[in-house]
Amino acid sequence: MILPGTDVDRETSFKGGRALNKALSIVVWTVISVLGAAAFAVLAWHRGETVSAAWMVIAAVCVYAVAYRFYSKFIGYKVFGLNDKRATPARVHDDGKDFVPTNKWVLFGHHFAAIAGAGPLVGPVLAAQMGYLPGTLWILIGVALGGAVQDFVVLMGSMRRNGKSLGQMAKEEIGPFAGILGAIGIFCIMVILIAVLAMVVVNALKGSPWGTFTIAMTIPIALIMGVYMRFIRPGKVLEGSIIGVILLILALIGGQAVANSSAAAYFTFSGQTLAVLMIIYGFIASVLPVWLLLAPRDYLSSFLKIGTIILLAVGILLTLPELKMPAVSRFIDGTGPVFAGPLFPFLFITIACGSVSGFHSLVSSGTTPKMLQQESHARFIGYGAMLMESGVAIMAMIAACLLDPGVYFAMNSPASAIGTTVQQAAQTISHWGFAVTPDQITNLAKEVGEKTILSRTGGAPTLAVGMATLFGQIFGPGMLAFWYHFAILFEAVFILTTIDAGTRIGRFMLQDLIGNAWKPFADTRNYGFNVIASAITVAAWGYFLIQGVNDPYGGINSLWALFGIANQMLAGIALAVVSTILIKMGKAKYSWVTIIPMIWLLVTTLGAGLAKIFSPVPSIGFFAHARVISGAIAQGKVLAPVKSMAQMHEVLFNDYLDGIVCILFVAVVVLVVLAALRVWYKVLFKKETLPLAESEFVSVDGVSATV
Amino acid sequence: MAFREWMRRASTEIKTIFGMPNYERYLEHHRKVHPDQPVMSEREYYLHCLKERYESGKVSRCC
Repeated sequence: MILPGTDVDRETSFKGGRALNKALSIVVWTVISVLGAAAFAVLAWHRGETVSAAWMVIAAVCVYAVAYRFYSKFIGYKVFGLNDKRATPARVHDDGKDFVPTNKWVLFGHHFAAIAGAGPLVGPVLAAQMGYLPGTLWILIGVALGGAVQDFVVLMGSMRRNGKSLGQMAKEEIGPFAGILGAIGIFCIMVILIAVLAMVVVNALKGSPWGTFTIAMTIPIALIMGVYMRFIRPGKVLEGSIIGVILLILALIGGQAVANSSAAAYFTFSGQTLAVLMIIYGFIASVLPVWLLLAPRDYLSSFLKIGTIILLAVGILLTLPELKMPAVSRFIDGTGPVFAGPLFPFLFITIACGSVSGFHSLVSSGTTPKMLQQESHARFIGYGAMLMESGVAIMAMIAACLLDPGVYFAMNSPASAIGTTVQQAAQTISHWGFAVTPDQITNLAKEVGEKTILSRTGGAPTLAVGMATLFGQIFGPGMLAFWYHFAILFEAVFILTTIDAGTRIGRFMLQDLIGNAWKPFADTRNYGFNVIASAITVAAWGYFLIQGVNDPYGGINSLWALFGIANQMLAGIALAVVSTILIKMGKAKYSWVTIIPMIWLLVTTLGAGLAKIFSPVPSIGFFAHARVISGAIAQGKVLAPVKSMAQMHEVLFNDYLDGIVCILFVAVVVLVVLAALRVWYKVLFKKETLPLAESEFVSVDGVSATV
Repeated sequence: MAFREWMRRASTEIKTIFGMPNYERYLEHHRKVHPDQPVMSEREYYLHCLKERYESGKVSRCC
């Protein structure tokens, strides 16, 4: 009980303090803004040989601070009306399992661990071919105005709907048709995602006995953990994980011994063999019981992932390396070897995760909304965690740009562009204007314990060399090979877990989708249907993987574009759903917050998608390329680097397939947006009041009274 | 004793962050809300949680 008088006293005595605080806050935020602007100026106009990564770090931190302090606050309170008096689903439905009010910081960790993946580590590495500046700008602006906004608003939307998934929200707020389209879209992105990530692993492991041995050992290690946590010490997941991590480090050290022994031959595989092994693994893993392989592997990869991200951050902050990549390279014109297509729109689909990632909308409408303790926490967790993910993308950009540009292009250009010998590669790349000698390439390969580093596309090996270089500066150059393989191990373990879990998710979606037409198939307790649906899912991504390895025009070059388009398309759908919610909430005047990033995503994905379909340039348009190939087939010619007439026909088929997938993506996103527009029109112009599927308001006071 | 308490809290939080089953939390909730119903053993609870997390088609991970 506080006496009225004391309250007034406190008010008056605080008045001066408050004014001071306000002045202080203005000074602090002005300093942060000026500092950020200065860092950007240095990054943009610096024309020396190298520039310090410190500027990139400063620019990023300042953008994050300003965006979080001002923009996320505006979205949270003005636009969405976060209200701590309103009980969150975790408070209303507290069941000790899914719905659990969770400490803000712990939930931040939970959400970040769920959204962080291999994506933000790959995209920026590929985008570095255009120089460090375009990618960095897109990562920072994209996250502040698009990516973090998406994660945050989807989280809030789901929180107000008892933690419903994005698909359910699309169905309830826009219509059942949009729900089914969304489900098809999510299934397709899952298939392409798994294929492209598997491709990354294949490129990192081909001809690398050290890497392959270590990754192979993760299977028995996971089995041991699985048995331990199931039979020996049931449910003791932390003990199991500690055992796993120790065994993993031993396998990593053992890998070097294996690579230097006569056993190396048993672990040296071609890309083709690795792809087949990956497909067999994916299928078996996805039909085994989860306690045996998936769960232990998931725990291992979660720990490795967070550990590696922390290590990388520490490495960068301790060394603040010099960036050797130019600010803007000549390849913004679209002639670059790493991915085809000019800066607009292809940069914006190459860096998806780390800037705007549609996939996050699935996580933000998953476990996190069920664990929020208070509505206001959604801001720190939804917006904040995505800023941190963007920071991971910035670190990947730094790791790629600290390499000699010549080395970067040697690692990231396909063999069709730079040939298969170091002499050819060094000559071609130097000719592009990035001086590099054959010795430089050979020596680096030797230092990291590999036979060759040529054409190790897919980002992971480049990131690994970057990380190894950073740690080499801290711990001395002797352990370069160890750090390189540690980084490869981390990405590969993480990706193999995604392959297993993603195949299971794809299987469920497929059973659900086919269940719409034929009910019995949706029964997930039927082991036979499970196996069939798993097989279809594995076959789908397996085909794209095999295509990526065999087809000289396939691989990261064409798959990553498809993945980027799919991921950004999903973000467009998510933003359309939330815009619909805002308009139905009567907040149409603020709906630009989600509509502007939605339009930008539509422009870039449709721009890239339509270019992939209609561009007359064969290196960009799938059908233009198909015309070149079919013309050559008609004349009976085999175009290098294709090796045979049969392969020419394969290339032709793949061009058509990729083109059709692209048409499918474009069609899905256009249809969902049209369906949303119909709802907006009804609300805004025909003044219909459409029901908002929000759950009922429950006051916090009411909840605490019952518990 | 303070160390044990610290370890217990750390393990709870690590489990929450990585989405691992937390048997102690389940027991506590069970005791508080429905003490009259039969309780799962640690192994049963572990398998139950794994099934929920990985075999329900829910997306718990990202690219």
